[in-house]
Amino acid sequence: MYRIIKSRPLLRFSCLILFFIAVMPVRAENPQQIFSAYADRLYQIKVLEKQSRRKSALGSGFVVSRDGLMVTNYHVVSKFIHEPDKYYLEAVSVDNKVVAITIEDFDIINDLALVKFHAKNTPMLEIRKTTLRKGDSIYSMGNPLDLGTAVVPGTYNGYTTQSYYKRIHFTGAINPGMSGGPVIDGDGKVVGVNVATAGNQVGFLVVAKKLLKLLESYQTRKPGKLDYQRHIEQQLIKNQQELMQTVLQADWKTTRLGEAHVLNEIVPFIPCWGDKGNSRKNKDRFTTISIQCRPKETVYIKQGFNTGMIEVQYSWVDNISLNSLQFTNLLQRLYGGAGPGNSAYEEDVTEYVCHEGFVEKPDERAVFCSRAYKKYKGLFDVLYISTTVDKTDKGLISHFTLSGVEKAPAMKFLARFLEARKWN
Amino acid sequence: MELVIELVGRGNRHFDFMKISGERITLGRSFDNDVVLADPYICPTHAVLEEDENGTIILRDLGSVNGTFCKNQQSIAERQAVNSGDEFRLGKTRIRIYRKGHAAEPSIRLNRIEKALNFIGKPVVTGALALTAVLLLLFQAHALELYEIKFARLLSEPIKFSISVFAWAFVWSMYARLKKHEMHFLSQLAVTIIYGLLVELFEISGSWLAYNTGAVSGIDTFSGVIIIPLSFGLIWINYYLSGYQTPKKRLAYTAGLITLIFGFAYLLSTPDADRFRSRPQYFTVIYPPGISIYSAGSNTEYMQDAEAVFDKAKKKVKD
Repeated sequence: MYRIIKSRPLLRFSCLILFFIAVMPVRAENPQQIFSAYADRLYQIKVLEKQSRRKSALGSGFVVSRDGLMVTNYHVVSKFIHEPDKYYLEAVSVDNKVVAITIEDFDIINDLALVKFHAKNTPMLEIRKTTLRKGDSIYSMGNPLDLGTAVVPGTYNGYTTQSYYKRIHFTGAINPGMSGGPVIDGDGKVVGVNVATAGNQVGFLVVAKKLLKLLESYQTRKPGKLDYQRHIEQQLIKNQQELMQTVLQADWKTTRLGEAHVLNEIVPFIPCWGDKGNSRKNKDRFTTISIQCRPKETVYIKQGFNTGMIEVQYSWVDNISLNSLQFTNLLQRLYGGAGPGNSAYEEDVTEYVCHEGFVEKPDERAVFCSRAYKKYKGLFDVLYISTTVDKTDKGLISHFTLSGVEKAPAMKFLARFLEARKWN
Repeated sequence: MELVIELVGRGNRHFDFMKISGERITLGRSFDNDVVLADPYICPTHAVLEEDENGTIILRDLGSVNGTFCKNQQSIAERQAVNSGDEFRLGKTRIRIYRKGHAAEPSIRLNRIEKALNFIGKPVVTGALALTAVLLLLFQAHALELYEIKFARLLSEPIKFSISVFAWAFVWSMYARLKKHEMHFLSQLAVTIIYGLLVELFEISGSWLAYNTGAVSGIDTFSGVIIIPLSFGLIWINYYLSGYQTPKKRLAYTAGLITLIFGFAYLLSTPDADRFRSRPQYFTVIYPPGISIYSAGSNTEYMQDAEAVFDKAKKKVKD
């Protein structure tokens, strides 16, 4: 090549110019330019019901390879992944061309999916490998509320704090339907993927690094049909192992609640909130103070089924004028109210199986329950609640729930939770 | 011949005995008959009872409009031999014919149950029982009240209890009255209150045992098993108080009613029991330290037992 170019200088020159045009980033600084420059790399992703041929879930996606590999959110295509016999997938380009797509890979933990259509030399988006600075302008693209492709300018605000599954905090309106759409910088490079919103211009993006990781693992994966259920199972188990290891290795600090010592924030991504549960109705009879710690985010598996919750909760009760039977009834009501920290249906989990009994120092009535995941072997939801039973002037209710954990880390968590109790 | 004629009402209810003697006993609506019957379906001279040469009683229909029938609904054509104790129907009236020497049924002995029932049916005793129940319910409502004590709110349970107990006793008394029997309202009431107290007693002692011994899975079975014989006893006495039945019949009626009530309750409860429960089901009752005898095991022991729930849950996946 080099030799040919050298011998024909004119051709070399023209080649150089062509090369520049193709690769030189379109430095577009206003949304209008951004839209016209990159809209052809955007698709609307549709999950359609087979019998009625009606759309059942909508999202956005964008092309990341010349041969038609596209990125979207896992939650956009999750209906298809769980029931591939009932649904089929389509992608619609900005100029309304419909193409059939297939699932290539997904990352349930970071809510990413790779889909593909047959293409040769289709326009694509590059992924940015360097980080941005707070305040940088970025542009979210997608198809909000099935209204047509849109571009939303906004600001990069760093990573979410107190978060285990780090997300980009994006200030700008992300709306349903834009899920899976790209967020690009002024050079057209992908910095994140639309995933969620907290309303009021607070949006969350999957970090581009996670996308690069998924693409890498996709390229090294052995070819062959992906077993969706097994793939989810492996990812949930791996994530749970890392998460529980982080939690169990942390130094569990305690804090005062009433006269008891209870667990404070175990790890930064499980922040705690306090509450004084006193109303006019009970102010002369008893007071309660509670502390509740739970992560802001969980792992979405499908509609009505999420996991990855670690929840710790305590209530301290001071008796003012209740007699011992009334006070016991109060503890009984608090003790009887334990429920799961995550939501799941009959097709996903078994009913709870419980062990009830007493623990000592302080003496507490305690129940420990678990329910098994029906499709993901070895994973359980677990909950524990206990109430002190040896005093009638004060009481402590201790509670935790874990969801999507294996038996061994759950038992370790229980052991440490029991150890952490102190009463004086 | 000397005969006793019994008028029988519906449901074998006894109306009247008539003792009559004569060669020929006539039955009919006109006043010159030996037995005057008020039934408009009976002819003025309807039938006659005579004795033949062998001493057998013969019933003859005198060509009546609506006829005379044996107990098996067969029409009497001309003459019909009658045994002592046989039953016939004239028009819509049922009669039984007895000879003077017909052996009477052995008398029913006034037994201990009867004495006990009469005792609890005394106004003082029934009143005391009712007061005990109401006070216990008030005490319970007070023990459960966590907020400001309002007397009106405390009364809601005792009132509900009183209404249901009264209604139950009232229905049985009405049933007895229909059967031309003494109403025994107070006895019915007293028995029903005792039943309510016993159910409560068994439930409380059952849950107390479950709390202290850890036999929590047995509690539902225990209260389910105990409530059936208790209810059986109640209904058996309700029947006993509202009319004479042979012991066999009373048992059969009681069993029938129990099956009906519990069968219905079961049918109503099934759709609920089948529904998937996303919340754990566990025994939430606790007792104050003063009246508990539990022994808290070590935490290691607790954890060992708790570990078993994983395998049990896993097993549920297969089912």
